[in-house]
Amino acid sequence: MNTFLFYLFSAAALLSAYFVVTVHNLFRAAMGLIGVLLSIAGLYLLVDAQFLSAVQIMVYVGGIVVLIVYVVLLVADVAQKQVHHAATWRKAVAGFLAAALFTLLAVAAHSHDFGVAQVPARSASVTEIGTALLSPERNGYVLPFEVISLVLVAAIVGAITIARGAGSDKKEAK
Amino acid sequence: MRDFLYHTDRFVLDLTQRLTDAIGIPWVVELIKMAAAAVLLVGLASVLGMVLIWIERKVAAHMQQRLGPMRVGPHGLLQTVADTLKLLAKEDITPKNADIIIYYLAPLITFAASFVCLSFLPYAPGMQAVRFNVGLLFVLGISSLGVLGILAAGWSSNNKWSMLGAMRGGAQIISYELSAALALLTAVIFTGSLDFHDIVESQREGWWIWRAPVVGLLGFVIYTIASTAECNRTPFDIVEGESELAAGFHTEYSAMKFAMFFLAEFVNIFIVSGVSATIFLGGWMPFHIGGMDGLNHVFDLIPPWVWFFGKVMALVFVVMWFRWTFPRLRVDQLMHFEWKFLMPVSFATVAVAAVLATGGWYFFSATPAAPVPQVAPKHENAKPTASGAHGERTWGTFRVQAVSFPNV
Repeated sequence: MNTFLFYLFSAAALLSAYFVVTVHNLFRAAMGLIGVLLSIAGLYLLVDAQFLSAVQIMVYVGGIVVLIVYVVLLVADVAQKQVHHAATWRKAVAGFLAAALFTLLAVAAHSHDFGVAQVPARSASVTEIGTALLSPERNGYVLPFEVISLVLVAAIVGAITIARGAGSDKKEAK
Repeated sequence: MRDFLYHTDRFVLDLTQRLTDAIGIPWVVELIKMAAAAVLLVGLASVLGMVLIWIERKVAAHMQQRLGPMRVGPHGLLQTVADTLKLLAKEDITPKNADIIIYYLAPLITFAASFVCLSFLPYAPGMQAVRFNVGLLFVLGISSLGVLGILAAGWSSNNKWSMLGAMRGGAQIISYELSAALALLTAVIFTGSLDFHDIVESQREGWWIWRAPVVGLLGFVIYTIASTAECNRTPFDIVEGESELAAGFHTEYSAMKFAMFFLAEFVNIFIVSGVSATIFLGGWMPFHIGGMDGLNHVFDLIPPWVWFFGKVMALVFVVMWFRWTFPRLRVDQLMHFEWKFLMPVSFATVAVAAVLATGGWYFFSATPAAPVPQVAPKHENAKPTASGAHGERTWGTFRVQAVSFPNV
């Protein structure tokens, strides 16, 4: 059953990924991206990573894809009536890089002995995730957590500054 | 029979046992259980659609001193059935310049997103199609998929009103999602779990709306407001805003595709009310006050699923009541309200809730509900550590009650 679901999700992920990179319409590509991300969330569920799966859906599908859709709708020429073909040398370089990455990954995956997991998979509880995030102990992630918070705050401040624009303070003063 | 009414978990176990005895192959039993749960949920969704639309029309009518639908069936009960038949028979119009794939996909995304959430809710003990230990997070995540359906519908219709409605809707839902999630967090802090089953069980002594002093009630109110906005219900229905945008994002949809949006809206109302009832009002847990056993036994006489559906229907009624009480907000008012009022208040609520939970300053906090901080277990050899906080715990695989996925 799990094996069947694994192949189902993998096939869905690969197909929608192919759809994303080949389709010309940006909005359709975004919809394909939902398929990719949901299939990967399904794969996470198969290995009992429920929290990761939920976060994947929440952050990537509910956040990132929505943002992409907004950007596409506001900025780009969505339908892309005239298709721009890349120059031949670009295609060649891209093809070479893709092949190189593929061989690298294939060799890495093949040479490493993954073995069978000794401990049965289980989903971490909220308590464990919470303590792991905020614990200053050896297994804690408090420093990355704080750094990410700082980066986010900086991003928010930056976004507000850009959105207000120069001189909007003066207008408000009037 | 008693089990069927009161101890639905025993009923499910008994049924499973009988099935296993009769068939003997575990994965066939699992498959039957999955199919049964799926059929039940589909049935629930369609019945909900029918009943809630009828209730909405009746509530609307009575608030305006009218009778509402009266002709088809007793008190118009069969009106929705007739309407559904009519919708099925209607011509399915597709705009000429619509993006066909996305135009067809949009109602599906919207409906699927709300339908999936139905499977996470605990309707009665043991009556929960999927039990994850982060169920609440899943419901929040999946319901945010609905925005994509609305955006897709608005864009693919190739109609400026649809587009405007969709853009507004997206902005609104994304904004109010934050307050809704933060409001739910107040109760989660007290229970220390995101598992719907654990959250219900933690309210055996009393519902969080009153057990968590003030913050419970505040969280409940904030969630009610924010979730109404998430469902695009009046006073937050600028997505559809009839007077400005024709019918908003679903202007170009007709027949059953329109019905899908409609059904999704009503299922969504049910889901947010169900989540609210589960988190703040105890879900299927009868009204209990810790220690007062006599009183508790009296309330136990009412079956749990009656409690659940009673609470949910009461909340659904409140949401429908809003519609005939408040005028629609303007777009800028909507954003001001969320970002300058609701968000700060929900942050403050969460902060106060955290202090109360860690201090144990809430009713019946004999066993600290907030888990005592402990060192995270080593990642390589993960050992179950939380032994005390929630009593016995099952570790590992999909923690599923009514239906479980077989693990090969």
